[in-house]
Amino acid sequence: MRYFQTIILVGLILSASLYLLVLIPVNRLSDLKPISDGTGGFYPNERLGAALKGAQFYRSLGCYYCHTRLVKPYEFGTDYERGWGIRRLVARDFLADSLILFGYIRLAPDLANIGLRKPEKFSIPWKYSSTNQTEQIGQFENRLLTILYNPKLLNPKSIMPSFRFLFNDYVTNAQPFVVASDNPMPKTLSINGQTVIPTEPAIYIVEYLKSMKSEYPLFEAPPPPDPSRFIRRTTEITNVLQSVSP
Amino acid sequence: MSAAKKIKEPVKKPIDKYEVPQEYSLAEIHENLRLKSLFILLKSTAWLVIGLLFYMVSIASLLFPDVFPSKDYLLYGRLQACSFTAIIYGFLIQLLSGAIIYILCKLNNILIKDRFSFYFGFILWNLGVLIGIVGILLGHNSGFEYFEIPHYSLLILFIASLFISFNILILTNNTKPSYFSFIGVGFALSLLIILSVVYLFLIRFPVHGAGQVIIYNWSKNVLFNVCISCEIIGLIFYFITDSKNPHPHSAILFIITILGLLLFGGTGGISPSIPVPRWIFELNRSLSLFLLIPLFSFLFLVLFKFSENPEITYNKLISFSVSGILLYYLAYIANVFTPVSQMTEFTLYDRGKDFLILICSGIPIFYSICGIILRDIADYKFSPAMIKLMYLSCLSGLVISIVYVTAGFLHGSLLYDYRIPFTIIIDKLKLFYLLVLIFSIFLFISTAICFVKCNLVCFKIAVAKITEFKNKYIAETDFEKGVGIK
Repeated sequence: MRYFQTIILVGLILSASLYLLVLIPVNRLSDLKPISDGTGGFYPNERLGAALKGAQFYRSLGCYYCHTRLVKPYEFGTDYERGWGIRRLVARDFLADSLILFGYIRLAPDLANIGLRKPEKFSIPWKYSSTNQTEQIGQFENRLLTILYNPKLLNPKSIMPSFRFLFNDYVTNAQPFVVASDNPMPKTLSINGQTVIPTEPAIYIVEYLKSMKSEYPLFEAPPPPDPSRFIRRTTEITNVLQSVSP
Repeated sequence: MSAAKKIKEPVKKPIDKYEVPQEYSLAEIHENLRLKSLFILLKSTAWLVIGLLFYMVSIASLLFPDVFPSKDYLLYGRLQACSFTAIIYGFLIQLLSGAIIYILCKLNNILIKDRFSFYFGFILWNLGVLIGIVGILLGHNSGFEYFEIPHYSLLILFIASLFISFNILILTNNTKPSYFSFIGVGFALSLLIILSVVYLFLIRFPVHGAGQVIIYNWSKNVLFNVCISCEIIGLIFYFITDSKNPHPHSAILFIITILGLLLFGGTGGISPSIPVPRWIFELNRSLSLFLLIPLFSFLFLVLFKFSENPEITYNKLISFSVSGILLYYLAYIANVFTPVSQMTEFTLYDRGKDFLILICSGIPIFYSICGIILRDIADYKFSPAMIKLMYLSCLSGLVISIVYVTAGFLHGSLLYDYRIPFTIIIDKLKLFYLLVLIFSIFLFISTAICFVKCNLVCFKIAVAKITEFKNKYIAETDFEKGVGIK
């Protein structure tokens, strides 16, 4: 008898915890809907095609162990000042995501808005060499591919591993000897005089990174009212840190 | 009439609360448990060694990325996922479930008669972990830290856990000391619930959007707070007394501890930046404060028990385990306070907090289990040098956790200053990672030595068994030939 009592008591407690902390909140969150962006479309858009496949590769390579994809609220950090986003991310931003992959530890820059990040806001700032928008997109893609191929080329202190296995064999005479026939976006990347052919996973990952754009204005996440306030605050924190450090 | 009936009813003899039927002798129970417990001990130790190896390599690949060839299975993320899977599922859950079966058998003087479900459950569990780790290395990870096992191996683990839970629940049915039944039932049910929730709502039919993070947090909290820590707390009390008086100082305090963990163990863990509505965050945060109740009752129980038994076997190891549990809950509850949670989210603090229970508390309890089981079933005692090595190993586990927690605070404070470039922040954290690497190498070596020792004991037992069998066979053959008639 006591046996059944124990099982029922423990089962009830665990079920109560599951109901109160999981089922009710998840049910409430399911009421959220995408909003109209005024051009006949909706925000957030569902990721399809290459970007969706890129999310799978992002997961399988374990990128989220170092990169987060979550802009913190202004009062909780300095993500805004670091140029990682212009507003905090809220539940609506992730409505279309079947894989959240927030990340756990920030050992690398946040990627929540990498698709919209300005070159000067990268860890190692850079500049577009052209004003043409299409060329700028190409340069942005090349930058991301170069980081994937060998991050140390851009930042010698980087702890990011090289993802050379995502690139086909390269030769110095600019004639690649391995070309994937079903590559959806055949490209070559010239790095230090060598030509590299990114494979499908590399292209998909770049597509996924480009699709990370969460700056659409939402009423539940207004932009910071007074940017100078944050600059003042971070300066104060810096002063405190400097006085504490030996 | 009814009053007359009442008078006529025989007065029930008060049953001793802790009366244990003496059906089998201790030798018979040890004989029954010998191979089973050695099987679990060896398998879980092997997974611990493998997990620590993965962990060492992952930290080395983070610190020295150029040293390793560019291969997908050598990436930091995959190696970390493999390491946590081996340590949590291969080592801790297997060891703890094996230990609870061992203790329930000893407390109740009963034998495990259904060998099939026992061995089948654990073999299937090991197979699930192995397939899971291979799957992670191949890139089939789920994307949820601590639940990275691919869906196919999670299904195997669920089936295995049905068998293991069946064993535990059957043994709990005969439990005389009522307090221990809560541990067994809590462990078995929470394991089944976690695996099914993760499989259904996160991996097979994933909930879209931020709901995922709520399910993930709850599952992770229940895994750590209910499944692992409840079990460790139960074992701490068993090993404090070493089965001579296997009862806590106060049954009420003990039940408050366990029920409190069951009820509020799923709370907390949601950091303030996670994009969920404010009320969900506040509800979680407020409820997680109630974890102070089981924490204090646990503290009182330990203090009373230690004062009752000044000469406790393996007391230093138990002290490490107790301190690991207490520090884990302190770090957990500290996150309720906004300044701490703001400063420490997405930093190494979380890793340190989790290591307090996985490494700092898990490894000492493993050594205690190892020592007591080998002493009981194989009459083997660790040498003083080995016990010293165990203490040092536990100390290095504690140091790793503290290094991570300290690094977490530094990490958070550096992230708060936007003028410090990210590269410099990571550069400053490298020193902490180097410390973690050094201590994890030591941890790996010491656990590997323990693994070798366990293997030697197994080998001796196997040799003894074979010799015994051989002698018996020779004697029987001689008897048949007529030698014995003389």
